[in-house]
Amino acid sequence: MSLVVKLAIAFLREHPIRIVLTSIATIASVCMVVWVASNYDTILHSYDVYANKTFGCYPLSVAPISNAKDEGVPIEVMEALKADPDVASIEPMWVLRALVRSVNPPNDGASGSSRSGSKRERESERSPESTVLALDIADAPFAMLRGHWITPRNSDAFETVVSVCAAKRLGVDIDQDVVVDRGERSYRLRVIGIMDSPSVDVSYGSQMSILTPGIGDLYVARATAEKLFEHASRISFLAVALKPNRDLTAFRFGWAPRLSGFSVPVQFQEASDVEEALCETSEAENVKLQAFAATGISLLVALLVIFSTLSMGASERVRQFAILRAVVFTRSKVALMIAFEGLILATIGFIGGMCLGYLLVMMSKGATEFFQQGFRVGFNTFFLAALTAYGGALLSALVPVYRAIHVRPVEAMVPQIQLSNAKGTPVRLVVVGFLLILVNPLLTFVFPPKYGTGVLVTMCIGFLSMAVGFVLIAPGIVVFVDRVISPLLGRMLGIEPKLLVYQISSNLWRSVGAAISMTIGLGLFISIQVWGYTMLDAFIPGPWVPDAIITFSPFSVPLKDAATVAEFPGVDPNRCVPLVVEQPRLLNDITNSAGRASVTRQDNVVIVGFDSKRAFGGDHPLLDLEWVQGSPDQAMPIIERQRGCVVPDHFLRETGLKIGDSFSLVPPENPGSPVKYVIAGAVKIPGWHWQTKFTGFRPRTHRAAALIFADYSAVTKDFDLRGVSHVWFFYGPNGADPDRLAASAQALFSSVLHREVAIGRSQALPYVRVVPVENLRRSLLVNARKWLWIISQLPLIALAVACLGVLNVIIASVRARRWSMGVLRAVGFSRGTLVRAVIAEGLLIGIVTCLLSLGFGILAGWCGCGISQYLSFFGGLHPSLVIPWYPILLSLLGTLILSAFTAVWPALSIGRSEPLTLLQQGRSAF
Amino acid sequence: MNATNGKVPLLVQAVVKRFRQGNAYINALNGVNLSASTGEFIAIMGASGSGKSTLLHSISGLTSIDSGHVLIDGVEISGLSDSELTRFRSRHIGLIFQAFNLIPVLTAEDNIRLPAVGSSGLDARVDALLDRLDLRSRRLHKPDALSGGEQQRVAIGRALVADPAILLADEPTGSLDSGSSQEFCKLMRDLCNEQHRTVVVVTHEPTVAMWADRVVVLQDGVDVGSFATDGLHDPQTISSGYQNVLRGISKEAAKCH
Repeated sequence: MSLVVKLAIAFLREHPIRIVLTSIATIASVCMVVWVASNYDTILHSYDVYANKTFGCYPLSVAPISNAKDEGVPIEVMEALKADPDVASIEPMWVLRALVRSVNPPNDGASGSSRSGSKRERESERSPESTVLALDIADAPFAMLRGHWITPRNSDAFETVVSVCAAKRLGVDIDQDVVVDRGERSYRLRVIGIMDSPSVDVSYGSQMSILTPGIGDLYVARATAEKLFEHASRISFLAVALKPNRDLTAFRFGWAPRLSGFSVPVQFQEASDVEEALCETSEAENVKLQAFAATGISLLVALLVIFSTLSMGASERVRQFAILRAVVFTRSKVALMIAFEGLILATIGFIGGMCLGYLLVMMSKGATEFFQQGFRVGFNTFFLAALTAYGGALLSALVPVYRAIHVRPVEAMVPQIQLSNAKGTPVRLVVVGFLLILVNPLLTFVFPPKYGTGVLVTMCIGFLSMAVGFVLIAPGIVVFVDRVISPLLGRMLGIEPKLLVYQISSNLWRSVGAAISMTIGLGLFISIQVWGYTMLDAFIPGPWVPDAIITFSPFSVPLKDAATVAEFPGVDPNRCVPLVVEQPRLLNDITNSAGRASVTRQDNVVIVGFDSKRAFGGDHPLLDLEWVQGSPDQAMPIIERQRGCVVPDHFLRETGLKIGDSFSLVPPENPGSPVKYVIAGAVKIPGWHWQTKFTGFRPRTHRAAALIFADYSAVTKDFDLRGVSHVWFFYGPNGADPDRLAASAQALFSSVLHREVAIGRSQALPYVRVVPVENLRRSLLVNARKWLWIISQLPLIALAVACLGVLNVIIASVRARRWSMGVLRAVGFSRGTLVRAVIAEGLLIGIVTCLLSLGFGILAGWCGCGISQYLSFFGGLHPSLVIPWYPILLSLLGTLILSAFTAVWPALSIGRSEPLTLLQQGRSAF
Repeated sequence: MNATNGKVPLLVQAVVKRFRQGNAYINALNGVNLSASTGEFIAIMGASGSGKSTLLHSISGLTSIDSGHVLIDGVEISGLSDSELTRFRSRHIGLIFQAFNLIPVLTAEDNIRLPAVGSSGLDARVDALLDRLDLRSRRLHKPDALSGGEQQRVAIGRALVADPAILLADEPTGSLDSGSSQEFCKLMRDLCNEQHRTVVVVTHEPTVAMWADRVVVLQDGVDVGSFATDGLHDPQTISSGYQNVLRGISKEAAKCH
């Protein structure tokens, strides 16, 4: 074994630059994993800290097993527990949600930017709902930072203690007031104390499965809460304290069977249950997924870079393996030697990556601000980093080991010239590769999967076979680029084309390894862009959407008053149409939403009623749509006279209906009398989802199967609507000021209602909103681009790291050709020619990378969109393929520049050498 | 016969080795017989393509045979598994190649140690070899810092370090100048005389074969005859004997010249 180790180390030391580059690449890969996975360790640590603190001075809580809103803990549970001699105290606590705001809103924009509306509207955005905990305990459950605790059972004192996080969010301190908005009423509470209760960064929905004294933002007396919420107090959960020296576990398990037998089954919760519940939240799952994704990408990069190194080493040492086999080594010892080389590289990468990653994480200022308990590098980070380094190394050693152990001892006798690689085109590989690539689109589009595990199986088989397919066609691409592109490149760079022939295909698998390692990053980047922009196409309001919409809420405006919007400054009077909007349920589940998880809750439509002639007809229709079936002239009579409607094209695809078919809708206010609508036409309305989402078009629920257009009178009558809720319009030729429009709408609405009206959302007052579609588009695009950029960073970093592998390859290639380059210099080729030839090699590998990445990226993105139909809430979208050429071309250009730049150092190094030096060094190479 | 254990160091019986060329098979060895006793120096000569290198590869176990028997020190090597053969070869067979075939990342001393790492008494044997081969001052040099002759001496040391039953050399002087070549042959001769080493050398050079005790002639994969050199270091005698064997003249008649 010592000989194996000694030889492994000696062989590695033979190429120090190669080892340094490989180590840097592996360190960078591990560092990426540490950077991302430490988020997960940090979040788990924060959950651990929170879970241990959230109960305050109570070790246990008792809460209903079900999360149903109206269920509370029965009083008999409290009575029974009080009678237990082990119990020191039982405190009932009541959890409520309310809109809470400060009297003086904070200036830091904590409410966030609005996606729509005027500047005045954005300024009046309210804080999200807060959790109010009503309780009557004498002492605060957590340490008071400032002020004092509330007086229990005092209904006259409208006072509250605020948690430190809520105080920061609302921008309040002691002796200041907060306002609790309850419909049309608002109540002021005086802040008398700031309490150091723990907080955790999960959604409210996740928090509500864990009822503990720590979940409150505001703490009030039960009597105060009864006044605020006009409701007798309930017991949402009980906080339980045991007497000293009581066995908590015995107490808990002694009571457990009895607790589920009450009229509302209840259960204990302690710190471990809280932590377990938090670890299962979507927040934790998302971060875990990111950590695994980063590990997967980094492992692939590390694998390919180390593979490149080991493979080069194995190729260069075929004769030495033969000698070792002839003289002393069995096959297993040869395999061990190569595996050990990989392990050494992995260890360097792991230790270096952990240290560098840890340093970067600790130095990250933003991170320490975000996580109150500071950043953690824990077991998960350690494990995933080790998996990246050692997993990549072991996997990368497989092929070199296989090749090395199949070297026959007799090859030690063979003259060296006979050991060169074949240069033939791997036709069979390419054919198999193309067939494998076809599997994914076939499974996604031609033979679509069934919902459930079928989708997962399709994804795994489809994407895996596609990835393997591209790996298999890579040698063919290398040969193609070598034969077809390199002569052209040669002419462009002023190099004799024959110098570049076989340049990258002479050591085929080395070039393939380098190209694939870069393709991981670039291919992923392109696929993210294609997927993102294609999916976005379905969400960004398309060019069909009018310039702006005015919303009146929660009351409506009579039609004749709504028509005066056409006279507002900046509105095109010819293209201004009042609307009525409702969101009725489909009587029959024609979209099969019950059976398809990705279209669940798409069991309804948003129906817009307007004057169809003004909307579709005339010289200046409000909606200039692309008609997929039918036409405006055919549709309008049906709409007006036969309760017809115009639907989006995807609705017909999802339901299997066609023009002339009908479907029934259930009026929310009159569910016993469904109404039937006839399909008069189908149009393309890309982006209707977010057009409806941010304009109040979805008054009932947050998902809808389609936006359909019908007659104003029919919709008003069928759904018992009193008046106009929205007005859609285009700007006049000189544009319009949304703030002035909002002011005009406010005045109109106020005159109709004879009361004060707010601009922007308000819980206390009726309000108007002006939503310019350009604001919406801009905001959506900015946020989408930001999000796409964030998730694209890891692939781009992987691409940069992979360049180190390419550098290794080019250095090895140059080293192997020193003698022939010496000959070229001796016969008259200039330094510049050799330098350009080496840079061309880098460019050629870059071109192979670009071709592979473009193919993989577009196909993966497209299939990703196809499979998205079955995931999350993306069902029913059917977006058309969008290839965002600008970022893609930019990334391709960047890759070519990077790969050319990578070759500069070896190129200059060979260019500086004298011919005799090259001849001597080349011949002395074993 | 090996005087110590009664076994013959080398016994080759009716060995056949075929290679495939396209759709046809070619018999590189066609029933070759050969034996060597302890301390005997045998040179195998023949024209290019006569099968002499294939015979050496078969004897050393570097390639498998299609039929026949190869016994080294009484052990039939064709029945051994790959790992058993590797271990057997490292302990019982010393190989010397034409192209030296040293491991470039190891020093001269480490190259010599290679086949016997882990065995007892290795340090003493290596020291003795370094002195015998006049390599002590070069022990820490890597192969690229050694001359051709020095590299070949390192290769000899590597072949001898495990005290093998037999030394096999394939065109060992092919990469050496004439002076180094004769030094190599003299060394082989001395090993036979002093240490009773059995040496088998494949060569086409009479100046090498003249150092052997016996020359075996191969033609078309068959051993067509052999003749003793009788200690005459005369290449012309060797050439004549070789030609006589090929022409089928009797050994006695060839010896007269």
